[in-house]
Amino acid sequence: MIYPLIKKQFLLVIRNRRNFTLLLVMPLVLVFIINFAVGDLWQGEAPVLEGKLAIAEHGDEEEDLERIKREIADIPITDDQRNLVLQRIEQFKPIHILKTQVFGSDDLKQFIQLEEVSPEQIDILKKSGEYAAILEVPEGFTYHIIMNMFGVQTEKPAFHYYINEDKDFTAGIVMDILAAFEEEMKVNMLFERYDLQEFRVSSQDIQGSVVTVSKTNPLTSTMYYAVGMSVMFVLYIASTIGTYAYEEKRIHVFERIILASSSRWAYVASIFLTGTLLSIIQLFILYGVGSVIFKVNWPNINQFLLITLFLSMSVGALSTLLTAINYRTHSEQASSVFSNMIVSIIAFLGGSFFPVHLISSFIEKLGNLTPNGAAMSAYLTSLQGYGYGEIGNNLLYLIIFSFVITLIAAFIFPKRGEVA
Amino acid sequence: MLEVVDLKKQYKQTRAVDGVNLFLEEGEIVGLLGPNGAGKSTTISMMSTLIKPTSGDVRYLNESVVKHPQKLRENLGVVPQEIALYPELTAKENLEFFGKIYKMDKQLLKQRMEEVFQLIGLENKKKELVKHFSGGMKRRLNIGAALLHQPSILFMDEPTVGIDPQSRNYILDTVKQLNKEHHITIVYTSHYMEEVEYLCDRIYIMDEGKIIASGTKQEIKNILSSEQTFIVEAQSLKKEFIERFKKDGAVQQLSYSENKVTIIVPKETNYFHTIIQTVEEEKQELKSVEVQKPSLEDVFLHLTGKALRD
Repeated sequence: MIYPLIKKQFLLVIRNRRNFTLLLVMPLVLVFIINFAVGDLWQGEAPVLEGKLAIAEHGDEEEDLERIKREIADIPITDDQRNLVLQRIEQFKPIHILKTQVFGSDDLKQFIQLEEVSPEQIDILKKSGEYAAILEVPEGFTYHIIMNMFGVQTEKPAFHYYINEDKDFTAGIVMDILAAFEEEMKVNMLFERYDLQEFRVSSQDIQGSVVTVSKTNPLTSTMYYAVGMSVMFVLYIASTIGTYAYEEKRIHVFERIILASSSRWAYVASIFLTGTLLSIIQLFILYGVGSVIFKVNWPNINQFLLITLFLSMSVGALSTLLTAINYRTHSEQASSVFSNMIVSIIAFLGGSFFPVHLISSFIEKLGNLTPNGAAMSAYLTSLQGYGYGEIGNNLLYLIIFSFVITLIAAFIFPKRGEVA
Repeated sequence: MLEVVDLKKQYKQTRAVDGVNLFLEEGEIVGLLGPNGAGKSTTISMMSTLIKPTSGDVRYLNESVVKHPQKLRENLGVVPQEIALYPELTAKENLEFFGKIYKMDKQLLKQRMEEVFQLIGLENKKKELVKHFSGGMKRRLNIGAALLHQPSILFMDEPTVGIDPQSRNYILDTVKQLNKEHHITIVYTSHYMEEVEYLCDRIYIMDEGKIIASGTKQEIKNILSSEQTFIVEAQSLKKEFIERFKKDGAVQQLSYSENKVTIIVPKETNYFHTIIQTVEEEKQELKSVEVQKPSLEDVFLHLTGKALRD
């Protein structure tokens, strides 16, 4: 009984060129355009960490060490104590460590090239913009560090930095490494001064390296918008079916269906199933094309199928609701308002246009209460390789949404005697 | 076969149907006449179980169809005034769909589709999209869709609206054929009086939700049979000639133009003789005298005060 109703609905939708364009061509074109427009700005794509760091020393670390040795020779201590201090000083060359063990490490030197320059070149280098950052080491830096370590109050040693704002990502990384290095110097000064050698931090601990924060797959703008556009355009199925159903009533075909003793519930069920099946087909086509053209591939195909099924059921439920309202109000206004206004609003809330969590967590929560938003969260989570636990809430919401909306639709749908 | 008893339908402040009583005998064609808004379509909708009446009943084979619509639906075909077809589907796909929702067996459906296409003369248009059909072809397919499941009763709501005379004649002949050869009982509503006169055995006239007259064609016409109409035509009518009729107490109605005067008098009066006598006395030159029989259109006008196409 329901099969001919569904088959007829499919034929009607497929034969309408406008529908075909709206439901299949438009989302793909939009993914192309948006991806082209915002691809480079997309946060999910790892920016290139590559740049040059210039280091300009006003003094000479070896000279600083010689100076310290000379001054220690004049201090009235035993030879054993002097030898111990000299031994420690030989092991502690902060600028050397910075150049060889930090920026010279195998992990970091593939990303950041350290170049030694003379202080006179600094102004020229600043203007050239070639370097992500320039580090200026003041005269007597090592001398003051070591003297402070041994409790001799001299000048407070500090680096001078110049940051290239055009290369702020690499510069930021360099700054973080230098800040950590300086912090270690200060800590070591304190440990040395109060003789807490066992707590000393090794310079190895501050070596920079680039690691992935989590083991999940990073999201690209293509992935985001392939999902965003698909979950948005699948909603148009609901308004399309609602419009067709109202047209059936307007031209009295619905009366023929009723006269054939088809129950109203069979009709409502056919609307739900048609909406669900058309949505599944649309999403399969969009993601299929997305996989071939945009290389958006799903790490867990079962999760993908499950999300697609539940989202499609939500669209089926919306189709029945719009049909019921159209029948109740004797107009196709519900479908028009839905397709012209509501789809755009809930697509915005659901994050189809951009990640709404960047605006506020409230909008993000609100977005997850829309079927497209809930499905989008689930799809994106799945694309990142998370498990069922992370998408469970979204799936549960989609099921509840489908059930409640279908129930409301059944309640609204006019009973016999109410149709004028 | 089918009986409508004191049927009423109230929409908020509007009473669309107000106590309609009618019956349908097997094998007859019954006409339902009435101006727009008379309540014909609402009555048909209630009779065909599509909407529930506010009160009253429709009984089919002595069983209330309001409570048990199933039996009537199985035997009923409805041809709505609108083209109730899918324009984006072909003629064949349309009939296939309507056959399937009647749960018709595949083989039977195939056979019935052939028969129906032949009956409505669209054998060569099966695979064309309905949206490319002419108005007449759509109307014929509209009838075909109602015949597919072999109904014994057919309700046809103005099935010839907006089509060319050739298609109209084809449909009228088809309706006759359905009644005579296939013994289908038909309720036919139309704005065209000549269609009803041509097709129907009995007629119900509706106005403002009520049946205001009913009977066979002759019985209906007899409503006006107490009067007779004379139309006197001349090159130019004399003032004195018209004044004679104005002053005559036997004349019930009089209307005239420069060369024509219409006189309505009681049937029993031998008024032809009076007219000839007046012509001679007033020396009125005469072209013709016509004695007019009442038509259904006259009856309708007489009963409702409205022309049928109003």
